[in-house]
Amino acid sequence: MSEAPSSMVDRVVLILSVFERSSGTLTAGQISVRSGIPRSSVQRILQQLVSARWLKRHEDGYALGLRMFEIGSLVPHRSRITCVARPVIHELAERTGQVVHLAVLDQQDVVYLDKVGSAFADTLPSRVGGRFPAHCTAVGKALLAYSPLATVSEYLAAGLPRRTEASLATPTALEAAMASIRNSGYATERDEAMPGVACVAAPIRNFDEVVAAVSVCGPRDQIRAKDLRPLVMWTAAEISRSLTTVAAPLALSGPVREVAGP
Amino acid sequence: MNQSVLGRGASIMAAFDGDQPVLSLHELATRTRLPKSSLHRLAEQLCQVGWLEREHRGYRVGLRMFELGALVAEGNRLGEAAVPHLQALAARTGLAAHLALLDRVEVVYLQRVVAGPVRVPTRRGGRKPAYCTALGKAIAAYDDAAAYALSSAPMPRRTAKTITEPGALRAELEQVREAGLAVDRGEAYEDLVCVAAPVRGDGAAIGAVSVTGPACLMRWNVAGEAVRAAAAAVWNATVSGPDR
Repeated sequence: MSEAPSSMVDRVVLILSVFERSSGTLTAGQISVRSGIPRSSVQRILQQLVSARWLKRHEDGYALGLRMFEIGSLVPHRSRITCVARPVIHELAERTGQVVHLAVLDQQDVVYLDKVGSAFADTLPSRVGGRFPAHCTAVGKALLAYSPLATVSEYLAAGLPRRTEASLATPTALEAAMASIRNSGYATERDEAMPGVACVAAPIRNFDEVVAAVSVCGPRDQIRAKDLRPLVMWTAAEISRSLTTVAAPLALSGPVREVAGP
Repeated sequence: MNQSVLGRGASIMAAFDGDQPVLSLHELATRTRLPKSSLHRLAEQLCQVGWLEREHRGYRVGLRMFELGALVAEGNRLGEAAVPHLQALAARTGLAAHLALLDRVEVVYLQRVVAGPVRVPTRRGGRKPAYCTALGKAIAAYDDAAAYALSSAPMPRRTAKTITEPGALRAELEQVREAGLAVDRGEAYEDLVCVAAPVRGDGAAIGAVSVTGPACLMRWNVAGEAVRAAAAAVWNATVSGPDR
């Protein structure tokens, strides 16, 4: 084989990330242009991805395949927390009439595990499986506030890009926000991710470790931190409690053995 | 066995099946039949790109895969539209509510909602053979090609009730079409029963909704009507829902 294996993995990653920026169907030509990988090589990789069923061939091009959804559903971290949190966050969305997010921290971003709620959800830039710079969000600040020192230093070293005029843009501002979050147990955000939107978030713990955060998000004039704080914190505490007490989901144990895929 | 780097990468990812969330290098080697040295090198590369994550006992599927998986358009709209209806269904019946679609001769679970203490061997993103599930039968009954594929594929016996004859399966699908409901009277697991309805308008089914639970908790009439209503609601929500 003339190709170094690392470049092959990198090429596949690059091709798949093209789909991340423009979900839907893409032609081989579009994929080649957007990934910067020569057409012939793209064609060969696409063929293999189709035969592995990671991509599906349509009349007008290629789209991510069902297999990708299946593998994605296996991320244990995700399935466990989401499973446990689901009933409670739906209740929170119903009681507040606002959008509820469940998110984890991954390097410079929060990744949304779940998102439920009102029609307002469609106007927010978040989506399940999507990313957003952590320091611009309430969930992200709640997660950073309880992260190890090394994680925070790394985060600050990478810089604090603004999303809006109100985004925290200096280490001092973010550190002050984190100190106040640790003090009060919850995080807020106004206009920092998107103008006109506000959020209240609280950390979710698995024993001593903060592993995720939950937030309520809505139009700025409807989000009153004082009223929402107890509900959000109660929800986070409830999820934390279930994480530590409820038996692992059935994928991990249970009376009837999970039947493996083919 | 596909020996390209991509093929080997795909077979590593395919080794994870929900049975065991963390696989050691040794287990990966057994499952993929790849030599340990090249397996280790490739697994480390997959860790770097976030497809795998390292754990002290081995490897697990990484967060990047969840992110990519969330982008799969197929079934996405259907899956989102179904959540509130599945929750209502699970609450009303006290059983596990599912939404699935048919992929060749297997069903893939798009959503799973469990309201009570019911334990069922299913998970979101999981697969089951269609011939022994109510969900599979509910969808295949409205698709001649799928019905043919199902009855031509092997139908191994799983319980005393499993339908194992192509002719019997075809007759069963005919009944499903007449009733608009499919049942599984313990065909996949001895004590687990299920009733499913197709999500469809006038044409083929785009998926199916079901409730599953132990036989002693199943009230067939109530569950059947609830499932039928939920499937209709999911169809309406999918057809009329916001275009995203």
